[in-house]
Amino acid sequence: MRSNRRIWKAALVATVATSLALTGCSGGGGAAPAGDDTLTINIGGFPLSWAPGSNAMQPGHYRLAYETLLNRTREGEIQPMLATEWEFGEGARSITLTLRDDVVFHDGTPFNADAVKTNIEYVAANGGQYGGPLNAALAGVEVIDDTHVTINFTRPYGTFTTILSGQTLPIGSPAAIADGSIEKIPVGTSPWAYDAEQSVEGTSMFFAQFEDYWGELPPMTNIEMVAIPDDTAAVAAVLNGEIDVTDSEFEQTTLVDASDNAEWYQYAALRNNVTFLVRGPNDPLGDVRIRQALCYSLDMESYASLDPTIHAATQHFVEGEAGYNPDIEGYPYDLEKAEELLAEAGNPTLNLTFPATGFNKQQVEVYAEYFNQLPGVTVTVQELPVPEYVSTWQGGQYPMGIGSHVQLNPADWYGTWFSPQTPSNVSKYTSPELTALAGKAQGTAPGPDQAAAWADVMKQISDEALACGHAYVDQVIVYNTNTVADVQPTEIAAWEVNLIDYRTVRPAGS
Amino acid sequence: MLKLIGSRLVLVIPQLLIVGLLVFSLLYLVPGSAAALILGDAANPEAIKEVEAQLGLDKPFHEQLVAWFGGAVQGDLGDSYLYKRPVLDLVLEKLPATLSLVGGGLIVAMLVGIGLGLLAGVNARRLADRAVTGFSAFMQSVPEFWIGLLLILFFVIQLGWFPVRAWTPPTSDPGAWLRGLFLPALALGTGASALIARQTRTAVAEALASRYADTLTAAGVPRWKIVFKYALKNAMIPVLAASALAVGILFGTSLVMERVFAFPGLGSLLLSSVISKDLPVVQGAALIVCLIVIAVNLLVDIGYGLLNPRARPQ
Amino acid sequence: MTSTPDPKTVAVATAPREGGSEAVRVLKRLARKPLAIVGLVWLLVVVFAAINADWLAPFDPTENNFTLEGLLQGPTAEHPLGTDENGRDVLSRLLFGARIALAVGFGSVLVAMLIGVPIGLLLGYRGGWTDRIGTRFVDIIDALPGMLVAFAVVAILGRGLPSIMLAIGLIFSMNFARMARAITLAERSKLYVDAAKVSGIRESTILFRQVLPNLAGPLVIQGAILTGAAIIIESALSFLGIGLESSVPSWGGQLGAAVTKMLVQPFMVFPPGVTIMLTVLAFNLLGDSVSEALHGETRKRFKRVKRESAAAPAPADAGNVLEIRDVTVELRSRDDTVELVKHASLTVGRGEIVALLGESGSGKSTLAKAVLGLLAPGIGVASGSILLDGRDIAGMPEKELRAVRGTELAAVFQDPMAALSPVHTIGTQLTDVIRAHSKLSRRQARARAAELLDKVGVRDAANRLDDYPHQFSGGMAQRVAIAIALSSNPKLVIADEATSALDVTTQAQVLDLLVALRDEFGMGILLITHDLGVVAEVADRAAVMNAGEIVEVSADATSLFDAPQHPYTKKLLAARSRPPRHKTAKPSRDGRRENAPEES
Repeated sequence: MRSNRRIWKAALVATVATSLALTGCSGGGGAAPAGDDTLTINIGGFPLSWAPGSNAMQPGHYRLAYETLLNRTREGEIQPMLATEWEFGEGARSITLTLRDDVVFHDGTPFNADAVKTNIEYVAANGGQYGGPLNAALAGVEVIDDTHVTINFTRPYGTFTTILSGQTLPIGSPAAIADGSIEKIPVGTSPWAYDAEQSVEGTSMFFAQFEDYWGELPPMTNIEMVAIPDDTAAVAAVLNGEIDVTDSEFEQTTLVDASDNAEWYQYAALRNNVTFLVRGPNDPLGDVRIRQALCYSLDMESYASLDPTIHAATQHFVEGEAGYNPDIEGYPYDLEKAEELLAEAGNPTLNLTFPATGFNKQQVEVYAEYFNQLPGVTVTVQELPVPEYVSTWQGGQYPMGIGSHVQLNPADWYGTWFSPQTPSNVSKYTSPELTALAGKAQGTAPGPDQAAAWADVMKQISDEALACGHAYVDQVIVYNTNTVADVQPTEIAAWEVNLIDYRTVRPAGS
Repeated sequence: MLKLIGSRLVLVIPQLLIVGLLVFSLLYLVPGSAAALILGDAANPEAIKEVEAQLGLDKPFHEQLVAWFGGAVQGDLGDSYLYKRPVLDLVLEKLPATLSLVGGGLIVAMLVGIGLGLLAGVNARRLADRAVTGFSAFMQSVPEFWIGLLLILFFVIQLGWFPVRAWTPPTSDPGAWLRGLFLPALALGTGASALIARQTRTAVAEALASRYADTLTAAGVPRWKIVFKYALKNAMIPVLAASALAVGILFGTSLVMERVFAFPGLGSLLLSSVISKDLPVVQGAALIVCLIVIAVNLLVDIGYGLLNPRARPQ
Repeated sequence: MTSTPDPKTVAVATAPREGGSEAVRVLKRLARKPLAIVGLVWLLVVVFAAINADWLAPFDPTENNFTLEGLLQGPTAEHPLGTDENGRDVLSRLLFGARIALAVGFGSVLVAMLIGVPIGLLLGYRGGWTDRIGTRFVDIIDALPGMLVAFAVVAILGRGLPSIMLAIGLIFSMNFARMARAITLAERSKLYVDAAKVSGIRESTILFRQVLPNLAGPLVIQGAILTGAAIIIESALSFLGIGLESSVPSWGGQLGAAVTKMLVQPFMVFPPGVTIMLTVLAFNLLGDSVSEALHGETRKRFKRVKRESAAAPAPADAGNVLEIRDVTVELRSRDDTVELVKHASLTVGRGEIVALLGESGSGKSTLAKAVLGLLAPGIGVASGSILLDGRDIAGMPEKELRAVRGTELAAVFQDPMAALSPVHTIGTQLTDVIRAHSKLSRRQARARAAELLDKVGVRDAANRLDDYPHQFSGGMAQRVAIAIALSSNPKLVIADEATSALDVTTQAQVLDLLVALRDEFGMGILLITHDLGVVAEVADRAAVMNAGEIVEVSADATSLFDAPQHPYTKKLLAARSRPPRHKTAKPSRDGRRENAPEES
């Protein structure tokens, strides 16, 4: 009997010893040593598709592997990238680009006008949020020679340079496009090329320095992308030193503040609002007074106070951006006025379903709370899984929805959401006043007059309460100060989520 | 020996057929059309008909069943609606993480379960026994994923002893793989260990109260040998059965545990495909899991034969 | 042949069913278990909370509070358990969550019963091919990992309470199917079914009238335990986000939300987790306790039996290898004490074969075990002494006893198959015994084992060492057991019903072997038996035991049969149907046996 007890004691000691040995004395296994030349970043998981023009990618993805033909700064200035010169044709119905001649893709395919044509036609053919509008505007692509290409439009498209600098057209290798492999493995022109050998399927995607890069190689040699689904886990991983950078929520920043090896910052990343999608004359939300009432019931100041990264706004465009109209008052919180308007509209009974999913559940629930303050209004929040949400929220079965609007100028914003032909205009109804104003703006030549015309369009949209509850949201980025430095937002993109400037970040201490 | 394996294999075939039938029928039970699911918001009556013809969904049930079985046997389980990749590839990618988890959990469950059960069986009806029995009852009442959460809270977040990213493939870094596997295996194993402990306790107590224990003890064989050589080996047979049962349970619990520890295994795959109604993946993953459970039971059956000379076909 | 009740498992016989009084009895037993009471109390709390959540809860469980101070608070006076990610009061949600837990728990189990019980009844009632195939199905479905089934059901039917109840119900249904089938089969095989059939009542009526009441008890117990499991499964599904909607207050859902906010508000993880744990534990405890109470098994706790200190015993006679002096063996449980052996005295001389005769239950095996030190916990020598070769071994501590056993003392038991470990070769067992008493190497020990086997008459000894016990016939196996007993040359061998399980011929052979070995090695043998024939064949002396007392000891073999003293002995002899064969009887002058028994 006693010998048994000794055996148990020995076993216990052995187990404890083994477990201690296993844990090692340092925290976190597999952590990169401080300041090494690989950036380990968690920035939105792995996209379902790496194809150019796919909306499955986040900016943090496509700007890692691909480059665009042009760049656009936050102020709106267009800069050269893969294309060195650009010139609009008559009435902005075409654009001719001069391309760099020293660029090669990660797989060795040369970059030239043919490659550009392949990319444009590929994206247009695939449709979707980016390809759809492109397809509607595209008349054809002409290859003039290896370094010159002309793109013809079906209508004046003065803002096409913005399109060329964003998620619509990251330029991928025509060879990878042709054999379809580009969906799984990105092949672009950026300083980092996907390295299958150093990647671990399902766990990490490794992008190693591309030696044949056409420009100056950035300080960070390699970039390893990981996918940590949980914000909590991701921040803990940064604090532990297992990864270098992650996106995060504001609530985790207190922990970052308390630590001595990590910092965080926030940058303006996205804009959203609640858009009333089903608003034809015979629909419950067809009456402008009802829409306005709903808008007045939103206490945006209170909502913004929940989280320092949320900012309430009166309109989609912020001050300094084209399309901003200082005369727009929006709908400051006024419950009395809202009830008055409802009374004017005949005190209707409204039963509305408001779709929500994991990443915007809180916002939807808050807005629904506000709406439900109104007499006769019952808003039910319908939770959907992310894939279903993404594909159905603006399909027409829900009268309204919160969406992130990525358009960077008023013409595109109007064109994507409110024009009579756009797929997002589910009830296919645009008021005659709005149509007239938009027509005028589209017809005016580029210049201050056109800008003023679009400002009028914006005011009309606001007055008709087609969308309200505007908020712009900052993104929080957390990074480990022991391993990386110069982590900051990029200059050449505006309103892009999950993104840091890959070109400035460098190993700490280098 | 071969006869033993052969006889057991034969019994497994009807099991496989039935499981396959059940799994295949999943697609049929969905209200609405599978084709509509695939097309998503591009769905309209003509497109639906086209996709159905393309996928062979308009053929009668038994034809589809045969086709599916035929494909499955060759390794073709269809393509995922969401990822547009072959289901088998997806499942095989995720398999190592799940197998590591279940394997680790089984090892912990057996070590802890057999150890505790031995302790209890040797001290039957005394304090140690009651303590172990009580502890086992307690362990079976706690949700394992909660234990996992608590372990993370203390050991990963507070103390930082273990990595946040718990999964590293064994091929890339065996040390990190083991380190990351420790906590999840611990959390998984504790629940199943109660089952094994109970079986072991009963079997050991019975063995120690048996005639042969008396005979050998009376002949002067030392106590430790009676316990560890004779009682334990005799107890192994029911314990093996309990372990096989535990594997089935472990598979189920591991699906949940993957979410807790962010393991990229079958659980996370199943979860996303359940949420997005990606039925081919649900079918494929379910089939593979059942196959593994059946295989484990088969191994246990064979192990039975090895352990128990009376069970061998003469 | 009825076996001696094994004192190790004391079970009170199940009381006959008498309807109402049975329930009262069960409840009384239940009331005596503290853990069951605790479990019941907690469950009542949960039920109470579920029913009265409306006025118990300080806040509306769906009342959001989207303010910075309101979200994710730890425990405060206003919110004793803090607030969640929407600012909702955790305590209120916990209370309302009890409704969901109980609804899911009971609902799923009900669904499982509704699905499983009819299937089980059908299979048990039909039997034959229906049963055979059906059971395969049941087994296969039961073997599917539960979570997988749940995932599949949710994938098909979507989220929500009915879907969850169906999923969990499916998982448990086969459990109940098996139960129903087993009970139906058991009832079918009972005699009264045939009797009733003869009297014209339909079989199905009989079955349902008998089966369903029998089913009630196990259903309740299993149901209780599975309710707990159902709650865990629902919480796991809600945790994963495929259970109930997140706005519905469910304990699992609360845990799921707590995970995402773990870094910010770790406290959130505790209230729902602890609640789930306590509730499931309560269900399990209750189920186990009811099970114990229903089966009437009161596992009596024993107490150590210590021998009352006596003066140093007088030295033993040098000619006796074993002296049992006035030994009393008691069984002590929490409630009472039973004397299994009362003031027994017996001696065995060196080289003497002494038979201890008695019926089952007379205490002879207990006495033997007392000598060997193999008494079960709770049983011990209360008084008297057992002198083995002059040394008092009664109540000796285990360590010292180990030295004695095998070298001075050995035993052979009744059923040779049971007396040998079925999963080890007899070579292993023999060598282990040999090496326990000598410093021989494994090979040397093996050689000695072969020698021993040969000595006890096993042919081809060397090869048979690698055989398993079940490969031996009864008689051969007993020879092996004897070989084991002999391996270290003991001074005393106790043979407890060693030949009772063998047929007459083999019995004779084994007895002959024992005598031959005694002649060769000179050890004493205490032969315990109920068989007069055995006594007559080999015993030098005989003792008779009845109800724990040694009632008669004969001076030599024949006098027991010729001149029995005690009335019990006379009864025993009279019960024999034919006269025993006297091996040592002197033939009479006229060929007729002198000591013919009395005819009765």
